[in-house]
Amino acid sequence: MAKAPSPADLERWLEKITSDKVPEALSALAKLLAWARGNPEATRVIPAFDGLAKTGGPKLKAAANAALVEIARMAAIRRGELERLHAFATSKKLAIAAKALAPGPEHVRHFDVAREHLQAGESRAVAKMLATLPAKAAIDAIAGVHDSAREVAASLIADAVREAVGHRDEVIRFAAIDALAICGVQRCDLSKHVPALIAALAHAGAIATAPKSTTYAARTIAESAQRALGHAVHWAKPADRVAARLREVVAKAPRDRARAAAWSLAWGSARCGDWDTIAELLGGAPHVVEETARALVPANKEQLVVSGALAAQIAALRTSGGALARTAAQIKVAGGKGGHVDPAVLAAGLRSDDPSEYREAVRLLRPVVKQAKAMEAIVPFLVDGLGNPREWGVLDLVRDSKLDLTRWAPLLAGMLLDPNFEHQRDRVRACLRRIDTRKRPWHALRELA
Amino acid sequence: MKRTAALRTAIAELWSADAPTRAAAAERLNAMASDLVDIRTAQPALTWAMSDPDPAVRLAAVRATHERVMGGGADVRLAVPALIELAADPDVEVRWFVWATLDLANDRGNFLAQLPAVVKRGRADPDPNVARITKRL
Repeated sequence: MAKAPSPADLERWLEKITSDKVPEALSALAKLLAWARGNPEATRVIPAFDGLAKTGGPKLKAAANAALVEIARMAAIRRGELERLHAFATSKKLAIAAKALAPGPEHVRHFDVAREHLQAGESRAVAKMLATLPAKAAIDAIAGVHDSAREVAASLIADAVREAVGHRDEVIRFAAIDALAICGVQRCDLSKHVPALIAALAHAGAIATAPKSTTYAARTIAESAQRALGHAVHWAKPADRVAARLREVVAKAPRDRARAAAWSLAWGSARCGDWDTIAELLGGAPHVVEETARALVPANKEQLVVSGALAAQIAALRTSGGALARTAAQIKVAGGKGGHVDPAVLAAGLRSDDPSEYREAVRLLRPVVKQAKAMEAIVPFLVDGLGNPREWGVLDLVRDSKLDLTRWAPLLAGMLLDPNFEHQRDRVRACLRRIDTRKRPWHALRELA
Repeated sequence: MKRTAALRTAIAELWSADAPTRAAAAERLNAMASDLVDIRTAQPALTWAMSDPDPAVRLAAVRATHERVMGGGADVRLAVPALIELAADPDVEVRWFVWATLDLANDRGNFLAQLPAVVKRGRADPDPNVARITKRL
């Protein structure tokens, strides 16, 4: 392997591969490829090679594609994992190469051992692998963690990567934080990971100042940390503590980190319908308002069900001019100009015999779940929605709400006895834990389930 | 499961702001149950109605639940905790239907064995008709 180049060398080569002079560009590409061989950080050059593969002349395109395929072959990352870790690498040849890879026996060993440990519930054993193995082997192991992410409990994954978020190797740090973001999607409580995730937001500072091609790792680490923190706001118990921590970062940290924290807080708050926090952020400093507006732009056609006052705040952003106005124009608020929709209209689908209408109602009610008055107004629909025990969206809404569940107690306890609700017992118990039932005459029945 | 309009209307009217409307809805559900119409999707709302502030609504809700298990052999364990809370209702007719329903529901799991204090209070009910049921338990 060639002697490690300095960061300045890498920068210079990454600049030169976009040169109009083809020999100069080919030479820089060859030097980068030589550096990348066997280097765990090889994936850093993928964006630049990817760009060249799309836009370069015939010789450069061919060279860049060949280099991408070779990096895919060399990288100590299992097939498919390459796509997940570097989702922005849109080169089809890279994806094909990754799929065609047959990993060597050593790669498979660490990958499979990590998977086996997780399937046996031994998350600490995996954590030890990630901490003690050499970087290449640890990358194999964390690829195994990613591969297991949807097969084992999210809490096991989160426990396995807990220390790896501070790993000396950048790829492993990114993979660990990305794993936490995946756990967040599966509603894992990430509250104990929040300090490490907030520390990872420090990478956000690199995004603003460094050239795009060299900040790939920093950008993806910060973005993954942002997503994971957003999930933490949504699912952590108690949620208020995570939100409070992020508020501190928004108020006190350097601008880039504050922006990243504002995005996470806004994204997570919107997911759980905490519109008070959104209104507070939209009244903050300009950089906080910009990130909050970005976080409210939906990934799909989802409309926000917000109060008239918040709808007016969002509408005002649309007239502010510049990038903020363009961002705000993409935020969809239900109910048109007024911005307020009667939650009962959304909840009507819970009485439908059509499963798709039922599930759509659950989805539309998600943003309303922390709004106590709105949830009280739709209690009849929630109770009637329980008449279909094959669907469990209603119990998720009840569990995540701030409803006073005292009057719900007998019905919830009855669900522990009714075999039709057998697959929802964890949700039911989560609801019952919010109520002191010791004085209820049927309290002992809770033990029967 | 596609429900009839009558069933859907009755379930929705269990939530009316007007107590007589709620009671009438529960009575219609009772009638449906005695006609062996499957009203299981109404059981959560009926169970909720067992804690209604209006006594007529509570009685109608318990009667509809009793009819489900008595006439159709339905599994009404979803309503058991609510029924147990109604076992101390001041209305003797309510208490009779509560214990009659619990007696039948208990065949599906003998949960009353876990609640000796509740059964003991039932056996001490001042009404002889209620006590006759509870003494069998």
